[in-house]
Amino acid sequence: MGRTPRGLVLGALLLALLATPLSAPFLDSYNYVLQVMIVMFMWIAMTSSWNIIGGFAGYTSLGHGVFFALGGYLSGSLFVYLGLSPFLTAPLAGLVAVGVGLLVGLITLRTRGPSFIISTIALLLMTNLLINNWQFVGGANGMSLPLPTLPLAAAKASFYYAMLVAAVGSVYLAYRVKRSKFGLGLRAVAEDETKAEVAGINTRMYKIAAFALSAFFVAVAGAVWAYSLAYLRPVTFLSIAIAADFVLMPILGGRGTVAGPVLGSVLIVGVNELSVAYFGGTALNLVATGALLLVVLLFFPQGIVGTLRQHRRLPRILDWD
Amino acid sequence: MPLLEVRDLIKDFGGLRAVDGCSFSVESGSITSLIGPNGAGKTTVFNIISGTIKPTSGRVLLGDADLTGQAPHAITRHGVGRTFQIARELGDMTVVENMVVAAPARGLLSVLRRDILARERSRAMELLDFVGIAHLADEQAKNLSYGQKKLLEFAAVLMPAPRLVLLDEPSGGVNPALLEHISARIEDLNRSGVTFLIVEHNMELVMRLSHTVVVMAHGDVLTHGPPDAVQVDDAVLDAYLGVA
Ligand SMILES: Nc1ncnc2c1ncn2[C@@H]1O[C@H](COP(=O)(O)OP(=O)(O)OP(=O)(O)O)[C@@H](O)[C@H]1O
Ligand SMILES: [Mg+2]
Repeated sequence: MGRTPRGLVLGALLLALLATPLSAPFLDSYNYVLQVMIVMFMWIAMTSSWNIIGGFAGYTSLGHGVFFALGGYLSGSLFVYLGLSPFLTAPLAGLVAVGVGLLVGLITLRTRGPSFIISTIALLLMTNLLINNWQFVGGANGMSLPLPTLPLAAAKASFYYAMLVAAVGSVYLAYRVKRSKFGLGLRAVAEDETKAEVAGINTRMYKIAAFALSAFFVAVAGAVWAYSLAYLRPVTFLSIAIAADFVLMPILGGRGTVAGPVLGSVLIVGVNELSVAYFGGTALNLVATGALLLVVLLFFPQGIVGTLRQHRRLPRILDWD
Repeated sequence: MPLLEVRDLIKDFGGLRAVDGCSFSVESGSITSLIGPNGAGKTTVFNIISGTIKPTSGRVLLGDADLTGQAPHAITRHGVGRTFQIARELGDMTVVENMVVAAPARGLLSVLRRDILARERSRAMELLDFVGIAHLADEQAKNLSYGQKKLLEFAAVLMPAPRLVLLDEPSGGVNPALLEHISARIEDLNRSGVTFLIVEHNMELVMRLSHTVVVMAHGDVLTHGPPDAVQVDDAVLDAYLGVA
């Protein structure tokens, strides 16, 4: 049974996404639609990546904004100072983030539970302080990137495709990890670390590897995002609101599942956009997101995908594990 | 020849000395029981051997290898398996996943392979069949009864084919008919060369299975020897009745 309906539907969805930018002549709100999709893809890429440590291994990181910033600022600086296109340096930024993730993981993963969460917040604050005072990358004033030479619509389309690649790559990576022995070990760590260790799993190594791996697509997304913004400030990457979104989106969709972060990202970005469209104001925006979370978690305590699976009600189309 | 040797183990929990100069050895190929009243320090000794807690002082030797202070996963890889007094299943995983987790892959390339390989599943099924819960293979472990969880843990500890198995109260929560079955399994495995160290309160089982019995009280070894000698030792009786 190679060709399941699920494969067909997801394939068709992907084709539709690939074709969307070609609809320019028929779409009045072309730039707006593409912009919303870019933001969705970015969050899918980042939360699916975060899910490897935060969902599979159960270590809630509030520090992934650091890798987001690393991707943005590294590719941004290479663009400003050496003229290298962020599209080319995004994978490099991902690799550097993996290296930094290893080092940071070595230290922060000595803690667990609330102490781990706090250590990742500390990381976020320290990085914020560092970038705010580092003139090479513009400090608190920020850094401007050269504008893309392409016309606006073509530039949008290229950001769209780059972010789509990051999103698909990140989901695929999460899927492969989930189905591997590495993923099985991470699930054991999430449930009972002592038991996992006694079973013969090098839990420390697994956790550090998961943390490092989870940084890759966050930095890639950061690089592409920076390019599309053309103006970088620390708060763009390192705000507490962004740190929270890394956690809230997977929790809403179902942390530890492959489809969960995707669903959570689509829902939160979607509700955000709708409420901005209707209310305009940022305060109501937050209220709408909060209300969504509250209502969903009341009925789906394990997140949408998690709870549906528990009750054996998960539609096959959302069963990606 | 001793397979396992613990020497002068001491473990302090704050002001409480849970293990107090405990020394004994487990002969290769034997079934050795570690008995003693509640709070004697038996589980703490297990925790030290398997590396989940570090001793205040003393050594744990396995053949030529010094296990003292090694990480639990490293000790497991030396061929030492253990079960927990209170069964500790990974509830959100299936029974088969619990089995496969107990024999983790080593090395980068094998860790990247499919979570459950066909041969792992068939070995898991064999062992689950061996303890009589093969029909629960794809059930979530949290849905098992307590006795079934103990059986799962017993089967899982055998997955990586350990040399030495530490069982902490294998009879706990298991019905008498099944207990017969388990003790027969322990004897089978022992005949095939697996060494056992068993903490157990069921004296009938201890006396029947063991080659050697080590009696602990107040963190130290009171006496040790063949079951029939230990059974008639007055000091042992006193320790159990709390006279000593
Ligand atoms: N983690 C711990 N922290 C503090 N005290 C502990 C800890 N673990 C065990 N103890 C204490 O050490 C002593 C020995 O406990 P242990 O569990 O080893 O006894 P045991 O011989 O296994 O008893 P039982 O037959 O009831 O299982 C007890 O007084 C216990 O309260
Ligand atoms: Mg005990």
